[in-house]
Amino acid sequence: MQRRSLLKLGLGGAVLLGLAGGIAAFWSPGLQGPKLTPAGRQAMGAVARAVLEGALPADEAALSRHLDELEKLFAGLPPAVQAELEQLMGLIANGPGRLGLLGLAKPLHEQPVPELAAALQSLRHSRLGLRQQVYFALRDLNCAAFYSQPSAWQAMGYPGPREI
Amino acid sequence: MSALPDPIQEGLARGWQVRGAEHGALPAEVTVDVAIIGSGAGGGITAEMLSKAGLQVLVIEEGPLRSSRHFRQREADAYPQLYQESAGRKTVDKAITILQGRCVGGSTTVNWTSSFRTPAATLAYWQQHFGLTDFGVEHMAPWFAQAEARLSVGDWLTAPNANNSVLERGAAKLGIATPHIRRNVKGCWNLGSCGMGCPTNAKQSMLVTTLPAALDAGAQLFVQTRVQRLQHDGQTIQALHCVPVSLNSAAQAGACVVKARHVVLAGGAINSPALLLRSQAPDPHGLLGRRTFLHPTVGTTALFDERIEGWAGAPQSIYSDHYLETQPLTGPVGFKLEAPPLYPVIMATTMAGFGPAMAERLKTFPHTQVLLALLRDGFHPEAAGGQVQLRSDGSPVLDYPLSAVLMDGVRRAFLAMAEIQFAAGARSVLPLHERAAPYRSWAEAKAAIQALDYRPLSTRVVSAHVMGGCALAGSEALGACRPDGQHWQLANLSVHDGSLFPTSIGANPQLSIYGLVTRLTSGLAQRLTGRAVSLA
Repeated sequence: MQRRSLLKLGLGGAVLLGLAGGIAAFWSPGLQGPKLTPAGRQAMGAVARAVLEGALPADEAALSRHLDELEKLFAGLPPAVQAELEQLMGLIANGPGRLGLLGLAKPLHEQPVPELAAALQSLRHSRLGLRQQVYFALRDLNCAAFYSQPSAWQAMGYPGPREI
Repeated sequence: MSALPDPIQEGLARGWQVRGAEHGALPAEVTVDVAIIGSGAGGGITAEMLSKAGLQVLVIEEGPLRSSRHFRQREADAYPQLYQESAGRKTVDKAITILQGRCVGGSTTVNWTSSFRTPAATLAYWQQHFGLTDFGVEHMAPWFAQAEARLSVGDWLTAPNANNSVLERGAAKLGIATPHIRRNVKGCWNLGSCGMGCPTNAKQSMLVTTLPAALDAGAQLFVQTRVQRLQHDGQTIQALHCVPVSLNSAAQAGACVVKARHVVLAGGAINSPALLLRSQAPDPHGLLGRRTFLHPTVGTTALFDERIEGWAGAPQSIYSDHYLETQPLTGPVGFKLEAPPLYPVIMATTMAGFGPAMAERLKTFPHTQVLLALLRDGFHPEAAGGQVQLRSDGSPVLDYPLSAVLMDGVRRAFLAMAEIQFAAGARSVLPLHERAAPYRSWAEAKAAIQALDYRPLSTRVVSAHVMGGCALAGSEALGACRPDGQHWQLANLSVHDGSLFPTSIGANPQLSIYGLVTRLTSGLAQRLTGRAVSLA
């Protein structure tokens, strides 16, 4: 299995991912400044569907609004953090990075949600710090963007702030 | 938008001298008596006292000027505007999230108002190990008293909210003492939105107390301005090289050079050492930016039949030092127990898991209670803190290893918190750990928590208390600064913020900074002007 053999690389895997990130970013960026490219939007949209399954409404408009919120969040981050995100979005939006990181050959938006969720679970519980970092970045960014919006509050029983 | 009067807007209308961002371009060059870098707990106190002493003061703040009319109690507004790195600042390995203010008032604008004097055991340790002989409880008491009087620190007489009541109730069943937390508030509405900027100006942060006093006395304030470099010759600082920055801290055109007779560094315990590192300040003993402490903080969530509504009411009103006081200071790492305010983003980003399981769990938000344990780092030899480093663009990042000794503390903290939550009547308890599950009884939780694998990242760790890196010490081999706050090598530089602490505090640090800086500024004013000034 491709994914297994990459996992076994351990630290070498980290170097390879870094390299793949560099190449991927060169080939087809997922993020330019704080803006997702069309490829980045497709990839991050697919990740959002898996991370927020059961919370994010199924329609395209809701996903599009969520990705807009993500871009607003990216815009607030300092340049050094945006540069890291650029690398991460490059990885998930391109073949080599996607395969190395998630073990998924097809583009993320062509993957069924359960496949993506399984790939995220494998990152989540990886013994390799770098892979876990990727999981937390993807998960936490999506959660922060989604749950900061009043549209998400009703389902969690939060009434919003007391107006004064 | 708050419809209440806004003292900052009123001050601006009175003609406060504020520059930067929407307040106008920075001058190419400016000369003042004292330049203060940072407007948080240390910078605010220093600004008021030195202005009172008749000195011409300039305060330089990297973040924006925001005030009650902007404080809408929404995380989406507050985090990008008021916090370092949008409240998502991380350590190098991304295992710890650091909450630090970055706005006028610094962390005091967004903190949860908990006010503790520096614990006696911490002061005694500094006296013994860092040559700070006259830093005992009796020496510090008058300085804390001044700060408390100036900032309305007092007992909080309103009943604790349900989130804090659980700590009080559960601990009482176990015979554990839970005193009440004192708060720096005046006419508090008990809203619970402290972490997003106080919309009623009740919190007596630097934003509404010392900084307005300094500005009314003629001090200048540069906002959205970063000091890139201190120009020095190894003995004195000649100039501060500043750049305007956008809301996300990106440098902009329009540099400014500041010349000052004396410089006070108060940028907080990551940015202050970072500026000295960027400036290649003398560091003969390799101490700069090392021994940086965080009170690494972990939590357990609990589900109750009754509504908890952790977003409502004073965020922190009850605490327990039981697990700090029942073990030796330098032994297994002790921890302070508190409760945090709960908001949608904090809750969703801190809990474990994703997908339908997370969505289901978040539906129980109104019934969810959370306890926090703040680990007291800096005393055990294997909990010696982290190191501030510079990225290639000069921005700082903290490398903080979560050692086995700290992770052992996490395990004991999970156990202590779960026991208290079950004693208070929790239906289930879930530690913030990727491998944990909701446990239905104390017996089940005890066995499972013992067996968890405690590794960075798998265990959620946060920090809101950054300390150390430019320690005060009685000799230059032990710390970057003299006991009076002056830098050991650079004669016209003082450090006045939490980076002065030689260890962590073992309590929420705001009052420790206020009290210490009141003392240091009193001495500095005397040295610079020959005049005695007090804060209150």
